[in-house]
Amino acid sequence: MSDRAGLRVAEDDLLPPPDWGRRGAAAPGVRAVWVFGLLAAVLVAGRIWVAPELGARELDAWATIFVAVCVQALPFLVFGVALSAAITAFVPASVWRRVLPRRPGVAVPVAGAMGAVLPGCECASVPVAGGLMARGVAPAAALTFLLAAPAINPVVLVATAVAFPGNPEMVVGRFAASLLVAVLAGWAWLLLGKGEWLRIPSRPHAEGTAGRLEAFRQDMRHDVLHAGGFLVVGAAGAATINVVVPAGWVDAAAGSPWLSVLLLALLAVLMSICSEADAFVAASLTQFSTTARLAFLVVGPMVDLKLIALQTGFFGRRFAVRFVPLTFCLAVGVSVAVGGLL
Amino acid sequence: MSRAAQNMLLIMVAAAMLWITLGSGEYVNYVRPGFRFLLVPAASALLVLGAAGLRREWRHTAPADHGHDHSRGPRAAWLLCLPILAVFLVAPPALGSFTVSRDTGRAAPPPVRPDEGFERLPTSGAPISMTMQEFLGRAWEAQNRDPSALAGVPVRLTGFVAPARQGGWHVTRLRSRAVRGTPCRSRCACAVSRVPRRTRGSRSSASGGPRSPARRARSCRN
Repeated sequence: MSDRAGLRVAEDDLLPPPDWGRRGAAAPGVRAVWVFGLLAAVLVAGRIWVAPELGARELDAWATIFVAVCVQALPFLVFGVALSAAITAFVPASVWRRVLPRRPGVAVPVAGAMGAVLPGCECASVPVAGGLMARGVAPAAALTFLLAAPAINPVVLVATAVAFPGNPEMVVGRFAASLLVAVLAGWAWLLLGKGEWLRIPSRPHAEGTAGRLEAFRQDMRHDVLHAGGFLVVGAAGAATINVVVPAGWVDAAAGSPWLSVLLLALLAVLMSICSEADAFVAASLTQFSTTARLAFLVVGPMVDLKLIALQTGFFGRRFAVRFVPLTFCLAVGVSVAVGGLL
Repeated sequence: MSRAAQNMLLIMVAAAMLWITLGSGEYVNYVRPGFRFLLVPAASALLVLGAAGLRREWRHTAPADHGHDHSRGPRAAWLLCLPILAVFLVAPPALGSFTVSRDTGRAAPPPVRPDEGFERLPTSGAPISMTMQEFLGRAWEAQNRDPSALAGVPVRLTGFVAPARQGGWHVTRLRSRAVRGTPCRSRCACAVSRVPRRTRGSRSSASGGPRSPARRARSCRN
């Protein structure tokens, strides 16, 4: 696309005829139709000839857990992403500035509490926080919102309650621990953070010419696909732990309280599951203690590979190098403390 | 990932979800039946999203100018093909004996005894059907308080049967929480081997699907 933009400034006679561009733009679409048509044919053929032949018990068990985690997480992911895209598209950023108090020390807990009300998918919360900073909100408060919004919003809490039925302390623990981590991280940044570490994105989220509905549609499509891809990674990981990794290893790791907490916290970082979906992965890791699974739920929405990449991209490497370890240590420490209380 | 591919991927995901809920009803292998009230609206939303995208790009070939570039989809999105392939190609059944035989090493938590205690059971006559929870409670009590309470009582339990390492059998049930089949299981099996005089008994009937060898309805005489 950038090539074509470059050509536009060039001389008129250097430009290709207009229909070239047309055909070029249509070609990937046509190719995609063929690819998906082929895929559909493979699925139908596989259903008829392959599926009845596959009877390996390990494969079946793996696929069942894998599909189960995907299937149950997907509705929450869709609803969460839809709400978050709607808020990004339809609620102007000036609302945040008006609601948040002037003094940063007070603004931090208020921003944390707003995270509980306004759903934000974690992929969306990074650009939103960048937009808040660009509009003059204190960076510490914007960072608190960034951490709190994906972790404790209503969709996530409902998903957690569904994933852990008859276990409401998991929902309470997740809410309390995540809010605490977000507020502590905001205050820590207020006290210790230096302005030069943070590169405030200069350009706020532009509305563009496309209109809000179009922005909503594009945001939602992007976030569903992005979060869905990582959900697949997480589901595959959970299924592998349950089926492929020898049960003795898992039990040994789950038996040691410290090791299990660290292991699941690291797993949350690696798997990068969307916060709307991670409760279902955690619920399937039955071998591990409540505290370890709480750590998984608290760390996941705040620190993971996808978020590290996004934060580095938006706020710069010097910010990510400091903020990511700070959040990780706080999240592990607080979830151990809260898990001990439960 | 081109935009056409993104839209079609969304439609594929939605179609797969609608197929397992409304088409084949396979979704009960993975989640509780009530989950369809969430699955169908979510799938419909995805379908609308994908169709709206296709329609829009059909009409406007020029890329819409948007603040940050969303026109190229994330690479990770291709992974969404995996669950679709798994649903159609592997057609995974509900969890069965494999999952059960994998996890026989874990002990059940001590069961809760009702306040008023258990009723005495007749030692003669037809086997008594009882839930695994009740059997565990009675076995616990028999082990710790009154060994005669379960002695010689014929009992019928329903569950997956797996051979125990020390001989005899484990009977296990997978307890589903939100998810049918996701291994949130109560560890009943292991407790059976802890009952004094390990459960023995001939298999009275064996039934099960061709792919999930679930042997049901074992009666045991203690």
